[in-house]
Amino acid sequence: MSAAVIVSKEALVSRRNSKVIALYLSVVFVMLAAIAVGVNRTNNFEAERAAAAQRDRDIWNDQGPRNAHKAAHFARYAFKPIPTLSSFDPGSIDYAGQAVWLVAHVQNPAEFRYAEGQGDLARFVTLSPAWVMQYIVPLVLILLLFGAYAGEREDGTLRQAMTHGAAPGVLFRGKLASASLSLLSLLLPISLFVLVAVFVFDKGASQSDLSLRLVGLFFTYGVYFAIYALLAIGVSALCSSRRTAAICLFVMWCMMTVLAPRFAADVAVTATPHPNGVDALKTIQDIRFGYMNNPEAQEQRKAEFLERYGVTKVEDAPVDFRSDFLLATEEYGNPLFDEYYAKIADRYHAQERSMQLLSVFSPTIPTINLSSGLAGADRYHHADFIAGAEENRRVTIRQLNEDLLYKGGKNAILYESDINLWRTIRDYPATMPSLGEFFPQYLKMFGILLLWAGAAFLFARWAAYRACNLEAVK
Amino acid sequence: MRQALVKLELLRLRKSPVALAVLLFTLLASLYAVWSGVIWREHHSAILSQHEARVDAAMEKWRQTLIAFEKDGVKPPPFFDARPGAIEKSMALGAAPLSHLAIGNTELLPTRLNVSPARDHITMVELYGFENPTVLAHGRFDLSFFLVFVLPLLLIGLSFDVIATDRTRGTLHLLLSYPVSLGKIIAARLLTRTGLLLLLAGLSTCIGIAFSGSAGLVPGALWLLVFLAYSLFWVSAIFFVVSFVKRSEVAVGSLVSLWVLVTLALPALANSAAEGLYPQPSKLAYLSDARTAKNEAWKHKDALTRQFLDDHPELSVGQGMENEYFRAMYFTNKMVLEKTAPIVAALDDSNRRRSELLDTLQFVSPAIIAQRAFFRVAGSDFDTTQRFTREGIDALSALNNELETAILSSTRISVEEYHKLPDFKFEHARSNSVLADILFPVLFLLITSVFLVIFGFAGNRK
Repeated sequence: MSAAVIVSKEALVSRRNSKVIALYLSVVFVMLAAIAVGVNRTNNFEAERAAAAQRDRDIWNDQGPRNAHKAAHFARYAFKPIPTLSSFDPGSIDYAGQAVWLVAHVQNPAEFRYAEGQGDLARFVTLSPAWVMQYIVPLVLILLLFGAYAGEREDGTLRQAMTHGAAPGVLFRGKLASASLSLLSLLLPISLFVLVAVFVFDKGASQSDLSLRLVGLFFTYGVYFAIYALLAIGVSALCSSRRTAAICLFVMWCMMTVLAPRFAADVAVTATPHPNGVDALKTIQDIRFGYMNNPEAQEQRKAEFLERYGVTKVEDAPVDFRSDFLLATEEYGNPLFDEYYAKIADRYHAQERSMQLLSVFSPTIPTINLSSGLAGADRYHHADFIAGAEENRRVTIRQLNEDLLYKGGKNAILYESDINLWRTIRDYPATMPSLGEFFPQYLKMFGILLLWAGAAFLFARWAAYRACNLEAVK
Repeated sequence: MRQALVKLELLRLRKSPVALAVLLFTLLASLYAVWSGVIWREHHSAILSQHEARVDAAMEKWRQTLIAFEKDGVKPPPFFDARPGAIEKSMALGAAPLSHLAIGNTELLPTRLNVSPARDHITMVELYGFENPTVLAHGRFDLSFFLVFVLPLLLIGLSFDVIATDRTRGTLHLLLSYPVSLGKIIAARLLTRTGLLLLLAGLSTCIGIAFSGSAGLVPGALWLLVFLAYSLFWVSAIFFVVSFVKRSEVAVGSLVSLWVLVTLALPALANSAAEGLYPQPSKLAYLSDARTAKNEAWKHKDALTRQFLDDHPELSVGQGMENEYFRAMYFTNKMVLEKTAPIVAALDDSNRRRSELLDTLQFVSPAIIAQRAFFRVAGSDFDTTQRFTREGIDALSALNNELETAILSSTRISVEEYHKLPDFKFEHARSNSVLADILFPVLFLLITSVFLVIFGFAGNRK
């Protein structure tokens, strides 16, 4: 007996089972609803961002004649682009700020999080295709496969198949192949819907490496589902009845998909609490006024200023020393901000390391992280936005302060710039980073997922062979 | 007979390692949830105290400068010192007695305000949003999560085969030969199993409530009411399903599907419906409106000042007229408040409509009812955070009204006047108002449970 015979028998059973067809249709329906919700959200969010960015430019140009440093305090905003694939997986988009105020002297955190407006339902799940893939499809797999071996054993058909010459390996391959076929028959229409949504209806910020990301998502979910299918086959082979197999698998599903991610996040934040907002504000203020409170640094800067202009008194220089002072405050603060925000990033890393450690208990944790990363909706992509915004802030503030220094004359405080300067200030480019920038991080998560797949395969194979051998010696 | 059934069930539970594991897990997971919440509350309260201390210290310095100025009289302090425009009052959304049991929106929304005429309603919100979005997106494993999401699963795990095993083993007929109905057998077994589990979860809940001391007694009673109603719903749902379904794998499949529907799918659909029906006005558009207003105010501040002084010439005689820093800032903030009033009203309206929609939609899922009720009792619900922000804006207007004359005339206020300024404390909702909010949904849960039990008994008779 070959594996193909087993596959065709399983396919026949599935086709005749109206419950399986109803289950498929339900998943496809939920998926379609999730895609519609996801595309709608992404398009709305991106339209809001584009409108806000345009208004920010208009407001900036319309500020009228003003002292350039005053303009630096009014400043501009950088708005985070919403990636196309966030319609598939919104990841942490709702929980990360969408706008950064690029004001003089201060590096601000991002503000305006979408989740803030969601009300009491924010703590329930948000309907998205990724959520269906992460939570519902594994449950469907369990429902399809819990009887793979246990059912055959209970009905006595396992021994029957073996007497017809089906070796344990053939049976295992047959079960695996039929599980893969069932999965593919579900995933192919789903993938098609996702592709149509992404390429036709989605109006999110374009991702240059969209195809690569989609391939990555396909492989990630392929491995994820394979893990669940293998675990389901393995547990089914270990259990003597459908009942026990179903119970064990449901418990596993609950533990691995529902509890583990939330528990891991809670452990992470309990072990390494979120940055203290009051301390953060104090540090930011300390950095802001750091140069003003540091007479030594001021003296050194003054000496450099005098030397640069070949004068002995600041009043004799052709430019206003106060303009140079403003430049100095930024140059003094920038590395300190880098250092402080690096410390915060270390804290985030510590939290994420804790979560990664707990991936031992659940393949859903690395899958969630990998999926949101590939969709461009995770913290790494957010950090790229923050870094880009900060770079823009520094360039903008420097440009404004230099305008004051070089054009403001000896009494720059009275000098006013106009629209000619405002127009030269560049907009935040709002481009999406490429996947390659975070590749090592994602490779690590994918590695964890592959380890899970390897372990699940070995477990399923061992359990399947054991089941056949036990049946043979009965 | 019923006593015998209960005793037998207890004996079976004692001998079942799986059942003992489920009970142990219940105790440990619920205690962890309480502990994690307590740690969070301490961290959160420490931050709020730090905030208040910082503002108080700054204002004490401000006050001392003013006292010195009033005493000396002759030597005025520098222009910026002890100016009314620089007065700042802290306002915080403090932790309610049971906030550690349901962190809810408190982790997500602003909880610290700096009420000052030098700020508008956007800038008065103290800088926040330093949290890791990845961790934030997953949410917390607090007691409300445990009770709403995990407890039903444990109840299902412990009691889905309450009668199916007898059916498959063929011992059901033997059981029914005794003078007791099938419904009563199921009920006795179910209550024994779930009773133990609920007792352990209740014990953790009581420990959690005890962390709040006497302040937690009344809200604690409300919390227990919601806990019991929600648990009763699930026990009744299990009773209903096992009464109709004969095979245990079908029973567990049906119950897990019900759990997915009630705790995951329906809330997600409700969320999407609320978002679709009442989309929030763009916060980014709100920001743009505020910046446009600020721009306009700065551009026209001289004209605004002139216009004001035309109406109030008596205010043009203050000290320090050469520097209009605070006056200009005050005008700007006032204009921002006026110009953004329509979008703020639209945001409030959208929130109100969503809230009203949820008041109805919650009845499609007991999980929504339970979670909203837990958040409400713990003071971490969305409406509370919205009320906090609204009261913050009102506080700002009140402080502005008190100080407007002094700011516009560039004069200092006296120490006595300073002491008369109001403090702004946010009060959580009173327990009777919370009870009024949660009573009907909780009654709905109880009524649904009764119906499920009645239909379950009817199923058994068949």
